[in-house]
Amino acid sequence: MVFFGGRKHGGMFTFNKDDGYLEAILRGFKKGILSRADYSNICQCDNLEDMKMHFLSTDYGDFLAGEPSPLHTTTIAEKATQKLVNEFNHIRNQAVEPLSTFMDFISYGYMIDNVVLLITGTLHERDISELVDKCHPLGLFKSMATLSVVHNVADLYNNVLIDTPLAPYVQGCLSEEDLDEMNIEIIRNTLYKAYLEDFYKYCQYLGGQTALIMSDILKFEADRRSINITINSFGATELTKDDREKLYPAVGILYPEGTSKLSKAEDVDQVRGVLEVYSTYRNFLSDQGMNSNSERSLEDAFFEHEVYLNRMAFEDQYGYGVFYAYIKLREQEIRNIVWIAECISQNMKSKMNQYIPIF
Amino acid sequence: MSFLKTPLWRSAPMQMVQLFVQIEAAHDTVDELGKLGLIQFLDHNENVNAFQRNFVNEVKRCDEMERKLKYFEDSISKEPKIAKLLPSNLLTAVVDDEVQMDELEARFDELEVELKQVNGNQETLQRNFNELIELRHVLMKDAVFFQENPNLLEQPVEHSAKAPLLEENVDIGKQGVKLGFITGVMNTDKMPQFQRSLWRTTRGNNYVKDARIEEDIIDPHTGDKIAKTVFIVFFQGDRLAQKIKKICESFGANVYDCPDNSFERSNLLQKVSIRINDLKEVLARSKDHKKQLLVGIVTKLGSWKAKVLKEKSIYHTMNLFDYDVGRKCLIAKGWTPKDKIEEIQLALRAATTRSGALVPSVLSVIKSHDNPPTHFETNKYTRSFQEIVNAYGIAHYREVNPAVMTIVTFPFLFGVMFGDVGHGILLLASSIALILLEKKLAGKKLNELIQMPFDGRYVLFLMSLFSIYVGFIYNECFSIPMNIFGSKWTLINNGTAYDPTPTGTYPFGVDPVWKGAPNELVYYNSFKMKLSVVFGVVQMTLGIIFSLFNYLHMKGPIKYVNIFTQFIPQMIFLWAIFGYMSFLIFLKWCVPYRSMTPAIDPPYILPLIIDMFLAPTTAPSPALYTGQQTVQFVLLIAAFVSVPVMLIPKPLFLKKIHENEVAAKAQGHEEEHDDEALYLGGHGDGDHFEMGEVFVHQVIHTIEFVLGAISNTASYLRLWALSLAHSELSSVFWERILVANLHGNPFIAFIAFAVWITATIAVLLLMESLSAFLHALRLHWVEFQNKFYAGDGIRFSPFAYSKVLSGDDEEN
Repeated sequence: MVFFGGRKHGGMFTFNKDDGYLEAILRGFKKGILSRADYSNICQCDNLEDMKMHFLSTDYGDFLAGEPSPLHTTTIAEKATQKLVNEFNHIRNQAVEPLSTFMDFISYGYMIDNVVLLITGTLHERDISELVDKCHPLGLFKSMATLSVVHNVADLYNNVLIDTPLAPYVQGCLSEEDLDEMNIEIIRNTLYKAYLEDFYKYCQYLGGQTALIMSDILKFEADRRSINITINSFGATELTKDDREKLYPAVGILYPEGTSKLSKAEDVDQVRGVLEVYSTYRNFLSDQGMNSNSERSLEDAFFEHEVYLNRMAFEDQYGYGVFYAYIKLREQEIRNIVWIAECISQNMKSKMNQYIPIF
Repeated sequence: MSFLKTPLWRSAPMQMVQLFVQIEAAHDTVDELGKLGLIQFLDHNENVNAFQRNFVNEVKRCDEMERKLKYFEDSISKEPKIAKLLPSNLLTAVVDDEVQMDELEARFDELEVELKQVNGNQETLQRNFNELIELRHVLMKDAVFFQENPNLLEQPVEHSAKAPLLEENVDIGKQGVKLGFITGVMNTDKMPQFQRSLWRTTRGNNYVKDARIEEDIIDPHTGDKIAKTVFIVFFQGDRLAQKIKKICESFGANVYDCPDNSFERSNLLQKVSIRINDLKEVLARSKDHKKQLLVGIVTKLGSWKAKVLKEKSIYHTMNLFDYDVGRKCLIAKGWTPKDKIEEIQLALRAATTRSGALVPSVLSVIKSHDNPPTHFETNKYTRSFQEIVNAYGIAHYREVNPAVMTIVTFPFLFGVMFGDVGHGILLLASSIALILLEKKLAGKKLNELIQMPFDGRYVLFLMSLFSIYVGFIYNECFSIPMNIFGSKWTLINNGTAYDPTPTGTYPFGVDPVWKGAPNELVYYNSFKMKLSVVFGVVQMTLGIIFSLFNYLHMKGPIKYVNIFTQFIPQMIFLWAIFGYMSFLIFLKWCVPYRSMTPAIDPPYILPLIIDMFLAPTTAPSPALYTGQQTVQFVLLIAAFVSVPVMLIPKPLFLKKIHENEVAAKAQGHEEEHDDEALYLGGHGDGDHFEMGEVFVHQVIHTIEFVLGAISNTASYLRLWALSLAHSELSSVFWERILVANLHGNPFIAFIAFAVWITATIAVLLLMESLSAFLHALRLHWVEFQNKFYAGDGIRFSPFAYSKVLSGDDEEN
């Protein structure tokens, strides 16, 4: 058992004393998630200003009030994310152990994304301050800006990540190689693998309903990554099958049998064959066949299942699953809003209904 | 009974009206109606999304203008001197009706562009200025630093023939070392992280020195002051230079070139100082320009804001209307008080002339079966009492309004619990102060703790008057009895006992000798307890009488059903038991048992009442009057009989009435709807009638009343309990804190007085009065109002500018 420090929460006995208030706030926030009626109203908008009008009657309120017309999709996304971040910080700042650590774990995922974004950006000689602006605000850390001087993975670890909570995750991928596109993807996946495993262990350590709910969600997350890695590696030949297997997280429904089969897969058909055995994933690949936009549809299937799992988390009490689920649902909602807003501004009304409804 | 005619007694009769307004005249019409504030519009387009309504573009324009105004306001509030001129209250803002929105919009656009330009210029200037200031600091700090460490920057020892060969290697550390350095300025809070990053990147091969800049630098963008620090990094080699530069960049540091030798440095410093002075002048001028611009805006801001808010509310209201495209007119529907229709028509006419529309607007009165909203015309005196009732529930349309009685009974019951002349006078002083400050404080946003007593200043005023009055009856002033008329009890036996027969009755209130007597508590308790019960019975009776007024106001047979199966048995039940008890209380007060021959002990009332229930056949002893047993037996029977009368007939009658209605409808007779009558309960509404439901309802009502009559009477004993607590507390404060410490040491006496006055104010005047207030509130809401008050109405909230501008309207 990994020792995480801190303390476990006392389950039903002390949950309300420690986290009841925050959970109540969170469930209040959850009430503000857009309903189907809201979506169908938003879909009727002719332009982004109309959307702004409609948001007035939702939980978003006047979050766009200070923005001059004409609005842009990016502004909406930015402001909506800002709202989510404010809510997250509000809860995080009031959380006590072990909820605070749990919420920190949530933000590590965003940190990994930010690290990867920054490295990719510096590889392409982009301006660092511009890149920092693009980072997800939940995953900011102090030494982030220093990433611009990094040239290889060891540097990355020694100069930057050593001060962040991500440090333990890097140990698996230390090498003196220079950074390139391929490397970065491997770093991302290695970090994510380590992160997911660590988070999973932490949730198991917390036990109770948290373990129950989060293991479902994290297992799915891990499986999604494994499947994605497999499918994405088909084009890129540089990744050997052994290396690929190393990137699969050691949690999930697929692990270990499914992942070992996945590592031997050569094309999408074989992946489908592997997934056939697992009732949860059986339909993800099979019904689309080999048509051209199967990639996109697989993504959608994943998102839909994620939303389903996160929604289920709210059926439960006395666990931290809801905190994770809320952030993810809001994120999906922002993706939906951006999708609809893009459709409106680019006049692609026919594609508008491809958003993933949440409640 | 002229008080029954006051507008407070029943809510104003409402009328549903329909307006047909030509599209050209619509804006002006809504404007006029907004000024009047007498009509509550109903939403015609409930199923239409906010952004699909007719006048949504106008609303958006107003939003945009509001945003610009907000931008102006933000800019203004950054200048503390001008910010004082910002309008605090929009209600008083003078609005120029002549100004067209288009003009304003253009004006705002111009101003926004100008302001943005000015802000931009100023930002650039400020940035340049900051850079110079920072550079100056860098030069100065570096100079100091180099002076302290003179050999850090020295050129490495020259490799020339002239150099002494032997001494060359003495200082090995300096040989061949060319230390480069980078210097700059960054935010102080980033320094530790910066140093750590440097250390990690250079693997410790660097030397950082930093010095805090004493003055704060103004951030050109936000205008905030930021603490900054000058740093200088020494390193070796070009590759490190690249890296360090990148790190500086990523930490947002401003890097400056600093010359190597001191001569150039001082030269540069001079140049920089000159430029700073130049720039200061330019900056001051640009600030002046900005100030002028803002002053120009701030004088108009209030009226602009009011105008835009009004415009926005007009279009919001027009969005509620139905747009008849064919006839080019808007159809509005809304509630208005019946007697104000004239005023509305005048306003409509005025609006038509103002807009120059060809077709005048039409107001037609229509019938509605919806429940009209409840509207009471209040003045500043009655408003707070009405709010006390409203806090429980808005009265049903045309229901008897308990606020009328609350005006007197509420402060009175408070006084019974808070009876003390001294405390009353202090309370009176504060309430009078609030009333005198009325003009000054009205309309302002006050502190929450002041706002509440200020809103209830007239309640407070009456409460204090009544507590002074009751204080005289209890004869207590800060718990001290006042011997105003001279006690009627005389001391005998050399002042060791009182003559058992007083010389007379004390003219008003309690004789002062009771205070401090050994049987003081027994005397006061008996008095206050009985008083509480009597007040309770009286107030509950009043409640039942109010229910009679409600029944009288109903239409059709239900009126008589209610009177005979509700009002009369309820009255009988209450009075047969508790009315009789009150009668006994008065009887006991009036009859001098001790001076009767033979002298007897006064009978206890409570056992007597209990015996009346438990042993109705045995004769009471001692008998208070002749025929007591018969009277009690009859009363008991009456009380028992009234319960089934309350319970059984009403549901049967309701069923019958409902059947008749259905039959009448089948024959085509539509019952006439009187919009001033009271429709309560809703049993016979529509075609749906569930006998079981109605009966259960009636059972609950009856049980509530019967049990309530007992428990509510007991509940009035809180009057006694609270007043006992109050007087005990104040006498404890007086005796234990003040009087006990008044002997000898004047300093201790002074302290004691301070403690006493603090305790009096904090505990008695604030906490005790709050508790007495809450108990009075409870007695009104529960014990009084549950006898008759439905309180399920909807508040009349007309479209009014006064509401829009004061920000009460949440929607806008």
